[in-house]
Amino acid sequence: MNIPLVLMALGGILVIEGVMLLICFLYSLLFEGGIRSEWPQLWLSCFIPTIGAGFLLTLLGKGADRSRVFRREAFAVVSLGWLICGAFASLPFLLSPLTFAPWDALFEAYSGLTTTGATIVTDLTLLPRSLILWRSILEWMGGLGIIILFVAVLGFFGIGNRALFSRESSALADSDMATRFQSLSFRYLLIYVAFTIISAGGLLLCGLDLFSAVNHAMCAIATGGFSPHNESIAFYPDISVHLWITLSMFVGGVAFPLHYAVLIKKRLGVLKENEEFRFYAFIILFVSSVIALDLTFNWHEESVSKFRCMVDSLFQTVAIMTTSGFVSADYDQWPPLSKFLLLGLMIMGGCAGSTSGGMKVSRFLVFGKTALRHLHLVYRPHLVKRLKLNGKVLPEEDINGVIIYFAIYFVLILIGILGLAFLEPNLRLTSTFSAIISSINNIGPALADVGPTKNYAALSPFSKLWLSAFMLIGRLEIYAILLLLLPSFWKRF
Amino acid sequence: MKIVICGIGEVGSHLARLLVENGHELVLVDPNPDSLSSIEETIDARIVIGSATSATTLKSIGIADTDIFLCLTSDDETNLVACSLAKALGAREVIARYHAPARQDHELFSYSDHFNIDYLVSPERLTAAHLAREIRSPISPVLDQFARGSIEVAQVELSENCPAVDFPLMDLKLPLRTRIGLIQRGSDVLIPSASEKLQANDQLILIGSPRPLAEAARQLVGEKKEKRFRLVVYGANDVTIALIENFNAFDVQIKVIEPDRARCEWISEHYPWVNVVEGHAIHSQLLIEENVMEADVFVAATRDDENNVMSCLQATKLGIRPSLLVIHRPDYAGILTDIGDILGINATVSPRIVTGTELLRYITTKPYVVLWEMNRGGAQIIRIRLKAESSDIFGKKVRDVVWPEHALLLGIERADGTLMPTADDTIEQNDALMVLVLPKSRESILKLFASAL
Repeated sequence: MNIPLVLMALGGILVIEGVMLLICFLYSLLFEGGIRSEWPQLWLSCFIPTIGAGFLLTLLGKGADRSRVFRREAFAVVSLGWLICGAFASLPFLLSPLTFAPWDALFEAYSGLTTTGATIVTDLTLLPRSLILWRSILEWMGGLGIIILFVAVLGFFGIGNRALFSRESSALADSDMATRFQSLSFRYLLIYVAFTIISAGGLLLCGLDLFSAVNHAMCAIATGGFSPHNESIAFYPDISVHLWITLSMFVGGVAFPLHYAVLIKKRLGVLKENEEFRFYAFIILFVSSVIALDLTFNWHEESVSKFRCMVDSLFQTVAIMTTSGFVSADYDQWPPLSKFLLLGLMIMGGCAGSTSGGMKVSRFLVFGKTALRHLHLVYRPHLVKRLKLNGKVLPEEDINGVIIYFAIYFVLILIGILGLAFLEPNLRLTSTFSAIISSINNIGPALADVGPTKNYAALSPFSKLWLSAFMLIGRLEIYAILLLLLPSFWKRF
Repeated sequence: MKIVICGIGEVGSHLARLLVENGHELVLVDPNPDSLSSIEETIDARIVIGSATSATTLKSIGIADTDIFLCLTSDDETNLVACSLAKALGAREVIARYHAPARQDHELFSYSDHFNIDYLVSPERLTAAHLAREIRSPISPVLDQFARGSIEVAQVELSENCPAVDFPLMDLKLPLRTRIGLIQRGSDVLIPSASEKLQANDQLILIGSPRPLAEAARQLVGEKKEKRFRLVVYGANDVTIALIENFNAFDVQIKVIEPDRARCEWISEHYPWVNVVEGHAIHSQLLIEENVMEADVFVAATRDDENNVMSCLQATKLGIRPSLLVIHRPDYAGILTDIGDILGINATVSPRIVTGTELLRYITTKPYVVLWEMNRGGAQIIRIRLKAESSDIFGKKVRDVVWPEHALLLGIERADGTLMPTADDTIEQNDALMVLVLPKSRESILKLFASAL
């Protein structure tokens, strides 16, 4: 392990986080009283240790051999980077006068950073606006991955960017799109910023104030799901807000390489050719129609109009499938078919290479194709069939990789459920498994006791840490975190 | 004529014998003394051991006064380079062999123009085209294809209840880029005019781009609900690939049986609609398990003659009547023609003979090349290269040329591709015209272009 280099990289990540804290400090300074006020001082006391630690680590890693960046180093940077980033991100919660317990602060920070959007805050109106902004910034940073920010903005490494890039969960890079990964990730960042601005602009036109517009835009494009309001999106009666946020989340759930091809390379045809995108769009249309029908026929709630049901089913389908977890209606009250569909979408998630979590649509496509092929092979063992995704042949190793991923994923979900059941004996069964599924797939709200109108505040400290761990595991697509537990990963020889 | 052949393999030696019989002066070049020694004693030709891609070798055999230079090695790159070199050193015409899939992109890019090669020949493609011709079936097979595969000739027979019967051609509204080139009515063969009415039992020869052509054939015959045609091919190689592409536009179910895993995967990757089975077709168990007996035609096209024969026998035993096979060794061809009927083998195709016949068409002193010839009636598609420096016909529109009767311009080949011309296209220098002619009209066509040849 090239430890100096890992330290240097981690330092770089903390410096970026420090810059983000500085934004909150400036906001607080401008809108929440002068330098002598309580909140600006708090932000300063978070900013200084973070940026200090960042520079210290960079200093420790000075003179690192930049040519030695292999998978091991890449995995270490990614997993440790998220861990440390989350720890420092919890500082503002921890130091605030609003009695956040350490586990609560960590839960909130990791929930933000992994774009989960689960919260332990029962009443958001008690939080200062700068802290609300911090939650949104965390999600926004987590959305495209701190690592991309790091690679794009600082470009510390001469070599090894490629290794880092492909370890980062939200950037399953389409390797032939550009040779220079630094410029490629910089372009992704540009697209990301542009989308956020457009989304915020749209929300302004829908009548939101600037603060809410920016916060919602950041959380929607990042498919995070933190809202400044206790009622989430249901706070707004205006349908146009719902639809615009639906669109923002949808865009966030599409692969960034695809955005790049369409917007920068101007190749519109790829949208039609891209199997994953087509399937993603199809699933959203199909499931939202089924839910709308289910609500029409099986849900006898007179107070909600049929039109509203349709909008809600579309919104909730997109919010869950892109793993945002915004809430426009209390779907926990919906009939069982709808609830199970949403639970299934939680596991599926958005496109690979997007800001969303979950298992990713492409993995499901590969899994489905492989399963179908295997059915044929059961009775015709001599048949030879190569599988393709998006017109490209899938190597057999990749197919095996997907199958193994599925297996590990479901074993982890099982372990998570067992652990949570042990820690929370009073939780209902639905709540237990939906909480784990919601966490590992980075959605946020789950069902029943931790449903869309509830929060995670009532859980025990250990369960909060347990859930945070699963958020991180899901966000980094399993391996990065599991590797840290492997003794041989750390051994010299 | 003075002819040089480089690469004396199966195809080269066969062609050499044919050419010597026809009285040409021949030079054979091959880097490998072994392949020359077998032919040396039996042929009256100059033998040179050397590399075809070396200018020294080429000069030493007097390339400057060579009429035709052929490079027929199994290596595409050698062929392209050698031919390009020979042309630069003064050979009048150069012909290169190529392998079908390796040059799959030849519709995209004209290798022959880039390397200055007059004709590219692929024995595998020719073999496949020949096999396709033999597979007469409910669907209309492609009889031939040229201009780098962008123009095909197909045949359909009109039965009495076909929708097109009794219509004049101008009312048919055939797809773009297709033509009815010939009508064979009883013993008559005619190139129809627009007012010609179609009759039942007419044999139509259609010419056009592959997909529209298939569509036109379907339109003429009417949407008959025939069962899908099923084809089993043993062996996955260049012949198989060319065969699959031959049937590309048609409703054919193809099953390929091949023992080599990597080849299986290649086929499955590039032709996902083809069923690929890993295994030997000489094992009857495998054939039964894969329901091969339900197939309409069995084709054995591996590189191994013995396997081809045995698998065909297995297929016949399972009850597939038309079974075809590819035979490479000259020794076997005679036997199989004699006892093929007894064994139940319908046709044998030899890449060596097919290629030899094809190349003989090109090795001619005439100003045109016969691309395709109908069995009876003598209708031909000829290709005329307009090589003259200047002629009053260059720059003229097709509609302004006074075409003789019984002749039909099918295509104009240019560096940037082949087009099926409309009346407003012009004829330019260095074009190669593809013209459908009857024997009586051939001379008048040549006379028409005499100044441009």
